[in-house]
Amino acid sequence: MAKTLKKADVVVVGLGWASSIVANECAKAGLKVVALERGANQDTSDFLGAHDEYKYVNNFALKQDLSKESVTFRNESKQMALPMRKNYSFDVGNNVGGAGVHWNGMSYRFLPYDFELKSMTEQRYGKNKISKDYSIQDWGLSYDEMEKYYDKAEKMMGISGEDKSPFSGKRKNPFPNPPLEKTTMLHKFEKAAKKLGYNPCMVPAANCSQPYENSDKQSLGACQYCAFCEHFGCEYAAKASPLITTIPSALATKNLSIITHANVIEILHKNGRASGVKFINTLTLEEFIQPAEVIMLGSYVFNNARLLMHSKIGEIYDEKSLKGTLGKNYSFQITPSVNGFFDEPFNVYLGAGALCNWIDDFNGDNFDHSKLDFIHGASFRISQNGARPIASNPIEPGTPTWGAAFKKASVRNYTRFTYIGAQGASLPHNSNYLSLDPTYKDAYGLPLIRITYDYTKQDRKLYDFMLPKLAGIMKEMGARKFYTSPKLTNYGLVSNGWYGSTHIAGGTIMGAKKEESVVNTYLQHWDMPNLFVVGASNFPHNPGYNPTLTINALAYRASEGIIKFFKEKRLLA
Amino acid sequence: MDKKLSRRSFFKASTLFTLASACVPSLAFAQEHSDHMGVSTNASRARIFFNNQDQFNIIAEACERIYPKDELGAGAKELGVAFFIDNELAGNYGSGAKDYRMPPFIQGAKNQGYQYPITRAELFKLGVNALNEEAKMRYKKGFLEISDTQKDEVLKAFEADRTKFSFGGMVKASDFFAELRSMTLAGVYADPIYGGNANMQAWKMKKFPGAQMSYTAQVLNEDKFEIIDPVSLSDMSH
Ligand SMILES: Cc1cc2nc3c(=O)[nH]c(=O)nc-3n(C[C@H](O)[C@H](O)[C@H](O)COP(=O)(O)OP(=O)(O)OC[C@H]3O[C@@H](n4cnc5c(N)ncnc54)[C@H](O)[C@@H]3O)c2cc1C
Repeated sequence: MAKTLKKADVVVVGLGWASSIVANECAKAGLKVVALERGANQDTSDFLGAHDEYKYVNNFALKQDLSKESVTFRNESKQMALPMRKNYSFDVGNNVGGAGVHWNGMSYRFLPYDFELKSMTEQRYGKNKISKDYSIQDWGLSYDEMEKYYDKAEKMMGISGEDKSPFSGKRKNPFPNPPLEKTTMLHKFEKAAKKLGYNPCMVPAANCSQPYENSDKQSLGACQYCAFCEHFGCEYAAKASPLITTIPSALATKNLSIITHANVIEILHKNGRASGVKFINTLTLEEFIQPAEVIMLGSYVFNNARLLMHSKIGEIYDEKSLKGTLGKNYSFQITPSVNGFFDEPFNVYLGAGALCNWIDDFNGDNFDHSKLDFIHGASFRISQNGARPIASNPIEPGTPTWGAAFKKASVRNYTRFTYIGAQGASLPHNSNYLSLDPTYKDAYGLPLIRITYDYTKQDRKLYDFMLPKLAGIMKEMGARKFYTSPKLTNYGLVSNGWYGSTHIAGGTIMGAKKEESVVNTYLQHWDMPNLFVVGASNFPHNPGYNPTLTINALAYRASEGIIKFFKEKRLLA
Repeated sequence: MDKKLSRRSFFKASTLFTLASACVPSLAFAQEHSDHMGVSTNASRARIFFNNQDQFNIIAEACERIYPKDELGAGAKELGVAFFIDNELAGNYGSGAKDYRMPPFIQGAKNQGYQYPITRAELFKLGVNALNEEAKMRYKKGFLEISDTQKDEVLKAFEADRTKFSFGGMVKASDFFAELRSMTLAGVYADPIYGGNANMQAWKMKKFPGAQMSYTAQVLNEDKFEIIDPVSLSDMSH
């Protein structure tokens, strides 16, 4: 028998960025919040001396434990989905702070075009620009409506940046901190991009360029360019994470209690109202019920969708009839790139997670698509986030991948290599979605989430279009030799053993209409007004940037909704 | 100029600031200099996973072919890579403690990834035996007795799934090879605390400075190319 705990005003599921923002805002508003996090507690002192590539990258120290829970994957519905048995593709967060602890910190605002993708595309190119199989839609909120939430998120995170990209939406306030310092490589990129007529700019970084006190009176340190961001926690408290911002702020109100090792397995509900959640203590395997007035899911894309499916809330998307919205519009990212080999060496070992220079000239609708057979685009960026020696063994095509020639080439090239990566938008397609796996279960007997996903025609066109543009910049940068990434084949979990991207979207999408979304623009569930769902799972398509700043802005929006709900007790849309 | 100067003092201030705010338990971080770390001939080291010395030696030889000693410096043997792999096989890596291991095990498309019921510990035992058998089938001698060129031929056959030896459908030779290659590189370049990369020789070759605390000075000094003596985690101090 599950033991029932004392009722909370708000229970948040998971404690990454999304949940911790909601927890903080609600706690500050005087609501009693309980956070249920499946992993353990951690803090900055855990990361002292954690410059250990083998532990944190190869052995995924901070990441989801696949022995408890994984995902299954197939390219198309004819195939049988198989579980991801080893960690290849997604570095899902697993402890207090979530992936917001081991992320890089690149913090872009999405383009105004992203929020009104469908209407702006139709307005400029007519209704038939792309096939009906692509279920693109407006998000229900415009960029202008999002601006104040972006501003809040940036001030809380202490974003360091410069307002120089002519394509970005209008900002009311400047960035809270000046941009990070440029390195030689970044200067080279900037010069080359300018020469080609593009508009380079420093990527907004959640790696603080100077000490900063945030909007909640929490302190962040200055980035030391130590290059242990991606996959690592920051020992300088210089990379914004829930551990040093939202969580201490919420705890200071005394209105937040955190229960760790609490794996939520079900949302309990009756007559269209959620009453609480059931969770299992992962150490004792005891079951508990946590009743609450409002429930907020911030358990990342996969579990946001999975918990709704498993709890039978909403209609699961069906590929054949196209009915249902839950699980719909799952999208990944399209990532063409170019590798450059130089004669002269660089300090490739130093950097910061978001120490990058970027151009947006080929992103969104920033260039004319009337003669092109795809829409949207990609942002291009050069990253100096620190090349680590196990992972970075750059060799030119044709060089053996082991043995004497490999050693010679990879040792020499290590300091003479860089790449320009593009993050291309991924549009939703009818045949790409999330559902429950019929075969494979997690450690607690719940079905795993099943990904059905492959690249589509639009993705391939976008990818091919970007390659020569990327190569052009690398050439201008003076690389001795450069090579663009290979042709897009089928999407797979295994991407040459490299870490791919944890930027996935969709599954519990937002929108202005119930027929085409799971949650409204307050991230409130259409069928259950006291249930809110927040994360990249809300994005109806995946834009050409990293997701987190927008997740966080949406979390501020959801917080506003939850506080409003306590007054109005109804659907807010 | 002025901007740089003021930024420089910011960084200085911030170092103090973070030390205070992060409540550093590791101010007394281990200072011990561990010269003996990772030297493969050290008396304090012995295999803990492989049952017999030949198995260990075969792994050591195969790793050396993947990352050989040359004029740049040490190869896998001298770096202690076989000890690293042996140790890892005895622990979480070998048992796949963080892998999803629930049945059914069905072989799918390549892009669906590893789908074998066997652990990496078992994979390596099968693999080591297979290297030896392949050598015998090709050259009538065990893997330890054949020439370097012949060892390379055997490894190439594994890499391309062209072995004469059959794994009976249990695994692909190339899966073992891929794992062996990536563990060799991990042993070469991981921090010496894991038992490879003896005396940080591999980092020195590659000009990777190891576990440094801060590169702010380099960045502010126009990011001029600089070779820095590496430090290991066992030496890292706050
Ligand atoms: C290596 C890496 C680099 C990245 N770099 C960037 C970047 O530069 N810029 C950017 O924008 N994004 C980046 N990201 C992505 C970013 O980390 C995520 O978008 C963001 O952290 C997601 O926040 P979230 O709160 O939605 O989810 P998460 O951070 O995943 O938090 C969800 C929490 O819920 C918990 N949880 C899940 N299921 C349950 C359950 N059933 N019961 C209880 N708890 C549960 C998890 O343990 C986790 O703590 C990066 C990610 C990785 C892995």
